[in-house]
Amino acid sequence: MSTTTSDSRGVSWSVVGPFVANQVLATVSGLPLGYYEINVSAAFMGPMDQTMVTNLKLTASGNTLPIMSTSSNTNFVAFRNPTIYINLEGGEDVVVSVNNLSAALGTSAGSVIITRHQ
Amino acid sequence: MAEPESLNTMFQNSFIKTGDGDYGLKIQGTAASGNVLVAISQTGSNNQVQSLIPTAARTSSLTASGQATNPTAGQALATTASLAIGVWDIEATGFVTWTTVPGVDSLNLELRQNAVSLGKIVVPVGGTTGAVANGVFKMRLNVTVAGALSVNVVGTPTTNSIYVTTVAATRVM
Repeated sequence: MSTTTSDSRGVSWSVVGPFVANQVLATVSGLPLGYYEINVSAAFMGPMDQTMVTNLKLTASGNTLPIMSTSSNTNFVAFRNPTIYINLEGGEDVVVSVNNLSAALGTSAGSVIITRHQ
Repeated sequence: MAEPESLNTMFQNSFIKTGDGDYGLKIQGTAASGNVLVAISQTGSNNQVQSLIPTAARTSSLTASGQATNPTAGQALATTASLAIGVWDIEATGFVTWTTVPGVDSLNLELRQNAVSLGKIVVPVGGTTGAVANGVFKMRLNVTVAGALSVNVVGTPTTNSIYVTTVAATRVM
């Protein structure tokens, strides 16, 4: 409550496959108690593997939220996840990671931006 | 009832301590119940007054996403938990890939709450390889009947097309 101004921080990633289950791509740590807005942009750049389209997840405060990164055949397509709001109790990490094992040899790239509102 | 000795005495029960150096003006109940109108924070020698968002507005988002190859007409790709009665900000996105008939797939994802249509997600399917960007649908919804939010396929998609969607809902009142 003593915080009257918002602050943002962000982490980006660019990781070449193949990917293993629960592989961590980005971590934002040291977040104090508060109410946060989270925006994730992600993309997958070929060689194409559709298993990667919905193979990212955001973990925060014990919750696992889906992230969708898209790809269109051999094209590169960026994707911005819907804005998510979440309460954090403090001392928790916000992590972007891989859901399931994937043999995709392409590159997963993206960023997660977190803004504290209260 | 005795007259208060001073204004300080009169209002002393209207303020409650909510943190180290922080005090909230109480409407009723306690800070823990969320019934605090404003907070007065002391940072160094400065006092700051801060409006507090109602407890409901600090609700974490409900989210869901899904993907399907050759989905069927009416199929739900993503379904959230039930939205309680209240006002919600909703943002849904859709994407279609590996399709060859843009006209069919560009307006074929529908956002529904409690099985009632809210509108369609326009997906910019511009070529033979599918969408060139994700379609976005944003709205503020006054939920009068509790029920889940879903993104459904409307008609039969182009053969071999892949539909993906993500939806998030945040209660604001």
